Amino acid sequence: MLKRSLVFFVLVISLVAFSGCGERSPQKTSKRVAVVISTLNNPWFVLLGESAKARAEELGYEAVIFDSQNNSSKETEHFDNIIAAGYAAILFNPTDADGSVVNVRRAKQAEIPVFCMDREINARDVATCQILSDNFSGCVEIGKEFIRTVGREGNYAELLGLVGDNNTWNRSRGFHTVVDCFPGLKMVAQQSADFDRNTAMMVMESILQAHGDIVGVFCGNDAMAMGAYQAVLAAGKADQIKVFGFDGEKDVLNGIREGKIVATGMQSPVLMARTAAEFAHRYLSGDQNFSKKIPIAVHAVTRENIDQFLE
Amino acid sequence: MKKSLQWSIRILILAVVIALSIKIEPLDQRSTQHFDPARQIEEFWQERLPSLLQGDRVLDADLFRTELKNNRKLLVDRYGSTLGIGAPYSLLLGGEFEVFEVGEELIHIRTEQGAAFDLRTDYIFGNTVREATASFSIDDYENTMDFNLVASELNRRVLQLVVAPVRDQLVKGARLHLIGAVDLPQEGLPKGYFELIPLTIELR
Repeated sequence: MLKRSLVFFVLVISLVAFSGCGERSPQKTSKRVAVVISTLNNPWFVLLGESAKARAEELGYEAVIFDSQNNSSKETEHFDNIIAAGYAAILFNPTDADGSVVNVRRAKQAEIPVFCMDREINARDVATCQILSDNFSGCVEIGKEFIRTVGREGNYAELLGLVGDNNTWNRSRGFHTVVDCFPGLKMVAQQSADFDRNTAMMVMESILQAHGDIVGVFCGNDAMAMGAYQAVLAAGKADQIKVFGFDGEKDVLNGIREGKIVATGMQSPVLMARTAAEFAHRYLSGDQNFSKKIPIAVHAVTRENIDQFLE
Repeated sequence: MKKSLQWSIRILILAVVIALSIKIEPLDQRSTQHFDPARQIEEFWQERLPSLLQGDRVLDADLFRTELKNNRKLLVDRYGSTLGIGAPYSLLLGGEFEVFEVGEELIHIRTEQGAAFDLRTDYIFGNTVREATASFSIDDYENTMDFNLVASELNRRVLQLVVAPVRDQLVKGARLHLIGAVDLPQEGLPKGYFELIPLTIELR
């Protein structure tokens, strides 16, 4: 009787011990991947999120998209839920270069690898890998196109994206690296329009009221370029003011073909998203040897080469 | 009266506290904080670059032309450096050249065997110099902005320290020994001549 009780006792202890192990590291066996996107209110980010999800599913994972609505606290809530639910990996498009670091750090502490897509966080040691557009070089090309089209003299405006996003500044810096070499070009307005089309239209309307003589506007993304173009068109200045964007959205590509927009930088959201999903798969399969940051080249799209991008 | 005085003082203190807690800065200064690329590049420029330019990473300009036709893969594998996915390969090229044509930003040069390039002498942008040296890793920088500032600083030094001292002597017929950085697209060739960004120029 005593012997049978002892065996039963050992069995129960073993079961408890093993089940405890399972609870401590659920991500080891999970086949779920979280895709956290800064906003789904912009078709570019929808494409990014859906491409990441699709590739993760192709690789055999269950993938769920979370929309942070450009709100850091919403993003934190998502990370709380993802960590609690024991997801295997996070494909992450951050809302804020500084504000998102804490979320990635918490995921790392929970042993969940994070692969940043498109937007960068200001920390080297927390994300497993950051797959980013080479915004700076892309906007150097846009800056060159600006000079070719607008010339070396005149007043111009710039619409910035979210001020907390590194992409905003990398794009602006790349553009200014070129344009600032020409003292005849004077930036008379630089305002944020939060990467948003409607905001850009309103901001551009007010810029036009104060500076009706501008010859060009550089916008940090295509949504803002479309908004700026609407304002320029409504003011009857579409021939005078050249509009430049960045992203490679379909609307703007069509706009370039129709002569409404001069140029944009063609990013590769699909490539970034697929690469992030594939890296996550590699990591979960045991290969953890990555560069911390992988820039992806951005190509300038103009009327000269638009056909190869619209195909 | 006493009460209103107390309230005035409270409001004043509150206003001072709020004013001291808010820092207003222009948007364009938001992008350039903390990192000083000039300080970091100084050591590279003075100590590491000279030995790099004497080393075996520098490809002969004529050999570049022939290998481009014969074995492009070997060329990029051995001498090329690229940043991430889809960017061009950047290489260091050297050789003896003659000046054939002088433009505002570009000077057309050729080797005796006919390898032709456009030497860029103004408006130097992008990552070509930084990547060709293969001496800087993006992983070593807190953010990509700092990494980009390194490229800009290198370009600035090329203009100031390499081009400016000899610019007036780069006339048609001048002979020079130079080492420079060039971009080779992942596929195909550039529309015109390859553009060479000089890192040293010695007039013969």
